[in-house]
Amino acid sequence: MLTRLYIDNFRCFVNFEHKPAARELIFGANGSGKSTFMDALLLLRQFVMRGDVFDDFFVLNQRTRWLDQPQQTFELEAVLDGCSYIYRLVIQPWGEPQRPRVKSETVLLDGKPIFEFLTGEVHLYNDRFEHKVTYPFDWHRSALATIVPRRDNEKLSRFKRWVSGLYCFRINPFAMASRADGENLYPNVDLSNIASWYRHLVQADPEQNAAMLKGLRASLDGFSFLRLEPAGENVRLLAAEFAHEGGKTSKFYFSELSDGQRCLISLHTILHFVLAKGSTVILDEPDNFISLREIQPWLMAVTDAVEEGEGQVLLISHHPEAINQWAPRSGVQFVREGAGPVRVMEFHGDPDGSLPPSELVARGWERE
Amino acid sequence: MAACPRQSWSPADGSVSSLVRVIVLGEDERHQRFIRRYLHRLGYESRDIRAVTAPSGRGSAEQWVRQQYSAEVREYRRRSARKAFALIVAIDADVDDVDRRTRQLRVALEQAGLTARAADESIVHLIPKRNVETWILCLSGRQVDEATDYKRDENVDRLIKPAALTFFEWSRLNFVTPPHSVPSLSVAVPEVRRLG
Repeated sequence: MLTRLYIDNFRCFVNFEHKPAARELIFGANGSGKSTFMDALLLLRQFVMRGDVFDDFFVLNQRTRWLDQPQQTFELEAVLDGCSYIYRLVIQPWGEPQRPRVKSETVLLDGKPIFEFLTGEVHLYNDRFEHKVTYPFDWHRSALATIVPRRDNEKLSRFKRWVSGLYCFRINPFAMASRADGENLYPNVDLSNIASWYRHLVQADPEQNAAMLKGLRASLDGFSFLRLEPAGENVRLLAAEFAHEGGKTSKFYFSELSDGQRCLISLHTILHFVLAKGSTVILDEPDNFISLREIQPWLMAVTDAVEEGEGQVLLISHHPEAINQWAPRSGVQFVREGAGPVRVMEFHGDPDGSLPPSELVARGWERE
Repeated sequence: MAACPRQSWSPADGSVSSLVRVIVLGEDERHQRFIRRYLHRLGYESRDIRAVTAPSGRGSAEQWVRQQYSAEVREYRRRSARKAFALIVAIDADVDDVDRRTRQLRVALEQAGLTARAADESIVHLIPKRNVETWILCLSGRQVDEATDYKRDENVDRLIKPAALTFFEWSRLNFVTPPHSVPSLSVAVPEVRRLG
C-alpha cells in the first residue's frame, strides 16, 4: 500500500507530502493539483518500469515555474508484507544545453539501503543488506529498471512488482478500440488498449472474469457476455453480447457501445481484475460518462473491495455522489492559495450542519 | 475485419434504468455496509439498493436520520402500492434505549401528518444499542455489552461482511439466538422479516 508521496519542484508541487489512506477521495478546485498528483505517480512508475532515457524537455520543463531551484525530488513510501520501503529519486539538470540526469536513486528497506544509484554508480545489496557489487551506469535513466529478480534480491523485486502494479487511470472512452492485436500485460492510462488488456486478463484470471461478467449483468440490462472474436491472424475484436426475450441475442463491437457503457465495462474491469487483487489504483474522474444511477453501486463495490481486501484506491472526483459517499470518512481536499503550492486538507464537513458534503463544497463552505 | 470505427451514437442494447428496490436510510457508512452485505445475502444486487447516509457522520447523524424518516416513509407509501419496495432505517440507540428510538420515529411520522407504521409495511427499523459496532462484534462471536462504545475497535471494518452473513443466519425462522446476543439484536431479528 502506498503510504507516502513526497514531491518537490514538480509543477505546482513544492515540498509536498501526502500520506494517503487505503481508500481516499481527493477533491478540490480546478487547477488544485489533483491530476498532477496522478501524473507524478505515472512519471515515477514509467521511469522505474520502462527504464527509458529521460525525455529532456518533459522533465525539466515541469519544474515549478516560480522557483529558481534546479533539483527535483520524488519519494514513494509503501508498506508491503509488513516491510517499509522508501524509493527516492533526485533529478538535476546537467551540461550545456541542459539535460536531466539522475543525481540519486535509492531504495531503503526498513531504513537500510537495498539499492543505490549515486552519481553514476550503482550499488547493489542483497536481502541481508550486504553490499555485493558496484558498477557504472547511464545517468539519464533509471538503474532500478534494469534490476532483474534473483534469489538474493527478493525484497527489491517485491518493491518493483508493487510499482508495476501501481495503476493510474484517466479513462477516455473516445480512445478505446475494439481491436486486440495481442495481449497487453498492463493497461494504458486512458484504457485505449482495453481490448488487448482484457485479452490478457481473461486468460490470466478466468475466475475474476466470471465475477466481472456477473457485475456487468447486474448493471447493464440484457448484457450477457464479452467475447474476443477472431478477426485475422492473431487479431481479436472485443464485442459485447446482449440477450433478448425469446433467446435471441445481438452483438456489438466495443467501439459500437455508448461512451457510458464503455466506461462502465472499464470500471468493472478495474474493480474485479485490479482492486480485488490488492493493487493500488489511482482513478482520475472515473465518474465521467457514468449515469447517476450507476455511480453509487460502483462506489459501494469499491468500498467493499478495499475494506475487506488488501487493495488501495485513490479516487479523484468532483462528482457530488462521490463526495457525498466518501468525503465524510475518506475525503481530502487539495487547495492552493492563489497560484501557490498545493496543500492537503482533511475534509471535516460540518458536524453541526445538515447540508450534504457536496453542497458544502458547492458553496465553498467546507473550508470555513 | 477491420476494427469498427467509433460512432457518436450507440446502436447497442443494455440501457441501465431499472428501479431501486430498497432504500437504506442510515447514520453512517458502517450501517450502510452492514445492511448492504445482509441484503446481498438475501439476493439483492448492488443496483437494487440506494444508500441515503447522514451528511456529517458526527453527533447529529441520528437526529438527521429521524428528520429524513418521515419523507422516506411518504415516498415508500407512494410507491409500494405499485411495486415491491422496502425502506430500512438504521439508527443507533446510543445511550438511550431501543423503545425510546422507536417512539421517536413514531412521533416523527405523527408530526409529518402520517399514520403509524402498519404491521404489513416493509419498513424496517434496525436500532443497534449502543451502536452498530456492538452488533458487528457480537455477531462475530465477541462478548459485548450495550453500554460500551466500540466505535474505535480496529477490527470492525473487516468484520462487517462476516457479521452480516451471521445476521442472515440468526434471522432465519426458528433459529435459536445464541446466549451472547445482545437484546437490541434480538429485537432486530423479527424486524428484518418485514422484508418478506
